[in-house]
Amino acid sequence: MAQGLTTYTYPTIGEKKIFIMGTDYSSIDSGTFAFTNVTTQWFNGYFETTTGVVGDSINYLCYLNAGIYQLFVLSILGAARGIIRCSIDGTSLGTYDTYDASTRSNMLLDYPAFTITAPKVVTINFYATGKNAGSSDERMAITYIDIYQRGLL
Amino acid sequence: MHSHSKIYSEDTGEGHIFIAPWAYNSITQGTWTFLSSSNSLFYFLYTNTSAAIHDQIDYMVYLSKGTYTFRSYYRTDTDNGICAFWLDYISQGWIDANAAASTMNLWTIANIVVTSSNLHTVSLHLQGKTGTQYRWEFTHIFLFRTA
Repeated sequence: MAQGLTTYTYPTIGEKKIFIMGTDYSSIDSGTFAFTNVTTQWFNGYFETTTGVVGDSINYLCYLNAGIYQLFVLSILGAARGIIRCSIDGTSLGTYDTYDASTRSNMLLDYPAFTITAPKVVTINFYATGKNAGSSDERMAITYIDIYQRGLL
Repeated sequence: MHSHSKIYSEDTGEGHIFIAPWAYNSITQGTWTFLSSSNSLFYFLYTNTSAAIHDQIDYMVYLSKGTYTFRSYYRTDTDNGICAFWLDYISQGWIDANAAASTMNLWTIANIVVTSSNLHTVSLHLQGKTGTQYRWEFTHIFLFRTA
């Protein structure tokens, strides 16, 4: 093969960068979600649980090719924010405690990398598992979800 | 095989498709522009100020074959009309945005079947009204595969 040329073969073709607005969910399992306008946040606000409780749960469907992916959420930290678990097809990537005594806009929640072994529609789930002792609530907030492919299989 | 060939699988997907309202391919009819809305997602709505029947805006997007759900956030009002969502100039469904109260709503059309992996045209088309005008106001369009 000539130097500098790359041959791509199945299943390495993928959508290398995927952008999902928080408002653009596929289903809500539990909780009341709504857009909240906050001018200090990117895109003028975020999609959040207006009364956060344990068990609030929202899903996003997304087609992913085989590969290794990284997932970020642009969120906000605050005194009423909960601990948010992110799962891919039911497998937890881990949790993120979004409590902070002060409101902090435009915070990236950086979940660990995950692997998709075969092309498929996946369910990305966010679930409120609880809250920090200092927090008054279990609210979750999502401005957008950013997924990028960081490795090939 | 040629050394720089690229093999594209039939199963190549499109992730989660976000279409910004201003990123249109063509305007078949009408004047479409930004409407400042300080409490809205993105700080604005996109609207047809012409507010005439058959106003239409078209977006070109690559879709792999599969089954999709279409969604869009739109605003109701007394002068907002009935809008259809078209895939390749075939209506997939419509919604009436005429209402006494001005509120944001989520429009959903599920089970849209795309039979070929190709560039497709998706359109918003004002097909009627029950209110005073054929106005349409929306933040964006998104599509995601369900199968």
